[in-house]
Amino acid sequence: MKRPYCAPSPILRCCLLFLSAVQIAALLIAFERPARAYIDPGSGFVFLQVAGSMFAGAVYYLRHRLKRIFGSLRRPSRDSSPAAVASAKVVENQP
Amino acid sequence: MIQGLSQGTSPDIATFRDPAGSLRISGDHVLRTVHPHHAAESLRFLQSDLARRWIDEGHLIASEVLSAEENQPLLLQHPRISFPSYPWEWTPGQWVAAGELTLELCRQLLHQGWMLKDATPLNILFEGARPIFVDVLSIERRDPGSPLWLAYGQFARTFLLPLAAYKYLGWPLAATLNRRDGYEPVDLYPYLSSLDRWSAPLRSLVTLPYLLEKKKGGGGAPPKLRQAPEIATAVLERNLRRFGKSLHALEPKDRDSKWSDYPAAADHYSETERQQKQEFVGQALKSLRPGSVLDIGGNTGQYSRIAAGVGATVVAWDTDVASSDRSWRDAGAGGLPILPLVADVARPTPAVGWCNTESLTLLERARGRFDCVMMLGILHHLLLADQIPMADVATLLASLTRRASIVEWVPKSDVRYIDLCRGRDELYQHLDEALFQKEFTRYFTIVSRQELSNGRVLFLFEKK
Repeated sequence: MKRPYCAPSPILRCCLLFLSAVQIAALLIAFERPARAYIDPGSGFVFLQVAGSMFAGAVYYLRHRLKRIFGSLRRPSRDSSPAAVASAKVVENQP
Repeated sequence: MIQGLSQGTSPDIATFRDPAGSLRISGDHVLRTVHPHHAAESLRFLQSDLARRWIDEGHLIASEVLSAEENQPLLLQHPRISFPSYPWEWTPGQWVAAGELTLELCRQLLHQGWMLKDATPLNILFEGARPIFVDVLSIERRDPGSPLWLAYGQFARTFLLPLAAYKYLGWPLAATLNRRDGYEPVDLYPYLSSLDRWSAPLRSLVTLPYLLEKKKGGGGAPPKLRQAPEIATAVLERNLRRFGKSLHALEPKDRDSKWSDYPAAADHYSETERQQKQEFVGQALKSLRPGSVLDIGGNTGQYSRIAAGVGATVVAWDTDVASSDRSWRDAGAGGLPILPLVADVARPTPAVGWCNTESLTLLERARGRFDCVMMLGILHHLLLADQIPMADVATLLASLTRRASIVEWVPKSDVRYIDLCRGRDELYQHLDEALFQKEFTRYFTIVSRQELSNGRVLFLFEKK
C-alpha cells in the first residue's frame, strides 16, 4: 500500500537544509590552480584568508538559504488569505 | 609600485617591478608606459565612471593619454605632485589615512569588477594633508569567483605590521626605510608579550601567520579559492571590512612628546613676544606672497598655518613624530594645504632601493622648490646639537629657497641656547650674530630685522 506523503517537521527540515547547505558550500568552495601574482602573497596570510573566506562563504550561503526558506514558509500563510486567493483568481481569469 | 614624483632639478628615476609597465620621472614630467598586453585594461579603467569620480574628488592621480595605438605600449602622463614624500617620512596618522584610502579604493573597485593587485604605502603620495592614490597600474580586473585579495599579504606587511610594531613595540615608522616590503610576522613575534600575541588584532596579524608559516615552511604557491560570484563578492567585502578594523585597532593614540606642547609651554617666550613673532612672520609672508613655503622645524604647525593663510602650499619638516602628527591632523581638519613630514634637515632622508635609484633624497626633492624657507627656532639646534658650521647652513638655505627666507637668530644669552651648549661655551664662542649675518649675507640681503624683548632676532632675507 502506498504511504501517504507526510511533510517533514520544521526542525527536521532545517536539519536537512543545513546538511545540504554545507554540502553545497563545500562544492562551491574548491581549490584551483596556484594563483599568479607579482607580489608575495605571504603563505600564512593567504592560508588565514582562505580559511576565513571559506567560513564566511558558508555562513553567507546558509543565511541566504534560510532567508529563502523562512520567506517561503511565511508566504503561503499570507497568500492563502481569502482576499489574496480571490485576487489571484481575478488575475488568472483575465484574458 | 611607484616611488615618487621628482622636481625640476632632481635626477631621473624609473620603476621596474610591475610587469604591467613602468613609470619614469624626468624633471616635471611624469610618464607611464603600459605594456601592450595591459593597455586595453588600463584604458578601460581610466575611462570608467569610478576613475573619473575618484580623479575629480582628488583621491586618484589624473592620467592624460599621450598615445594609445593597437599593439603598442600605452603612454600616459600624470601631473606632478607638489612635494613627493615616502612612508618613512610620514606620521602615524598619515600611515592610517593612506591605509584607509587603499581599502576604500578596494571596496569601490570590488563592485565594479576591479581590484588592487598590490597594496603598499608607496602607491600613495600626499598633496597637502590629503592622501592621493598614484599608481593606476595597481588596478586590474578581478576574478569574480575569487573571494581572496592576494595583495592582503603585502597590505599586512607594509601597512599593518609597521603600525603594530610602532604601537606595541615602539619601533619607529621611519625604520621602514630599510624594509621595502615591510615586516614579516616573524620579525615581531619574538618581541611581543604572550598576552599581546593572542589578543586582537595581533593574533591574526602576527601569531597565527607566524605559526602557520613555521609549520608549512613558508614555501609554495598560494591556493586559489573558488566561490559563486555573488558569494565571493560578499566574502571579499567582509574581508575588507575586517582589514579596516585591524587598521583602526592599530591606530596609535595621540602621544605627547617633549616638543608636542612646545608652543604653549615655551617659557622663553612671553605671550607678547610670541605675538610679536607671529606678526613679524605674518607681515613678511604677506609681503612675499609665496606660492610655496618650507617650514624647517615646523613643530605643531603654528607658523605653517600662517603661511597657508596667505595662500602658500606648505611643507613642514620636524624630527618630532607627535608634533608633526598634530600638525597634520590640524591641517586636515582645517583643509589647509600643509604637508608635515618627519624629516631631519641635519640628517636628510637618503635615497634607497636598487643602486640607490628607487627614491630621491629629501634634499633632491626640496632644492629650488620653495619661494620661501622658514627656519624659526631651529638654527641654534643645527649649530649646537648637530654641530653644522654656520656657512654650511647658509649654503643649504640658499639652495632650498628661490626667493626669500625667514630666520630666527638665538643669542648666547637665551635659555635654550645655554641648554644646548651644555657648558661647551668655549667651543661655540665664535657663534654670534655678526658671524650669522656675515655668512647669510653671502647669499641674501636683509630686508627686515626685528629684535624681540627676549633677545631673539627675526630676519627676513631676500635671495641675491
